Amino acid sequence: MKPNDEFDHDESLSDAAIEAALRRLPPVAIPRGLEERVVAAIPRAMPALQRTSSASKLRERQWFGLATVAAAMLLVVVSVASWHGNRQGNSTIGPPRPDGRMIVVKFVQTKETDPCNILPPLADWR
Amino acid sequence: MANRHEGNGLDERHADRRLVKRILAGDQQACAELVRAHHAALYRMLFHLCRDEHRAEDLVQETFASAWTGLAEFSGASGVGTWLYRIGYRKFLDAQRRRSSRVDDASDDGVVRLDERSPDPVRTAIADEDAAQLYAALAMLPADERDVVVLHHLQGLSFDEISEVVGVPPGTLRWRKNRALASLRRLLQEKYEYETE
Repeated sequence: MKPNDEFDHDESLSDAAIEAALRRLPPVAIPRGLEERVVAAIPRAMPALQRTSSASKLRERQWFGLATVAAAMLLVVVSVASWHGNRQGNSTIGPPRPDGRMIVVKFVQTKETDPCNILPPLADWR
Repeated sequence: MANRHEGNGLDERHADRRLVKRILAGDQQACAELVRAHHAALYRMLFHLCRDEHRAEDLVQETFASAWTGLAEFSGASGVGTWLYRIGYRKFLDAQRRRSSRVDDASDDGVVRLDERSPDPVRTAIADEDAAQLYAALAMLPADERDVVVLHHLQGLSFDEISEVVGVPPGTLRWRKNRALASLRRLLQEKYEYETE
């Protein structure tokens, strides 16, 4: 490209002139038969396979998330129950009654252990 | 994808999404439509990047092969054309790396010589002498500058779209474009001065 052909010689090769020349460039010819070759290479079973694999991946992820949430909730429930049980004192479930219902039996300690009296008295050392 | 300066980009995007849905539903005709709509622009981009029609053709085939396997992951955030350009650009970079390492291994003095003796393929493809000179000047630019000019001026992509393709911020791309225009001006001026001497 000669500047005096496409551009005004005085203000030759301004950015705008070069950009205009670039946009006017003729497009490169496409090789004959390229489209047919690419179309011929389209896999016949591709879309269904892709959709299945993508959907199954999504399902796997969803199940994994659900399982994690369920495990966390179970852990919380067990922890709360255990903490609540400790606070309420010792209790146990009594033997099953004939009508199939259970009775919660609560042990109430009436006398606390005196930590100073857990050992036998010392013999008189004299 | 052919020219972003024409038509409504939003309509194009809706049309692209519909096309992708049809392909994922198993419509083989939709696959052919996608090829028909985008193969030429993709080929031209790859041809300008690698300057070899056979390599460009191979890269187009590889790009569509990757597109078929990855189409289910297409999010629709960008147009299908931009998405295909991105795949094609990565294929080109991978091929360049492989090629460079092969040439490096083969050369005795460590100097890379790619297609040193081969005739300029653009000159054989472009009949217009002036246009061929501009193409030749374009080929002499550093790769990062040339890529911006090819994608922006020749392919008609906006800087946001180019940013998605090459993974570089739009501001950097604008700066590269300005540098590329300055380099082109210098090259064309040198050519003109040489011819008028």
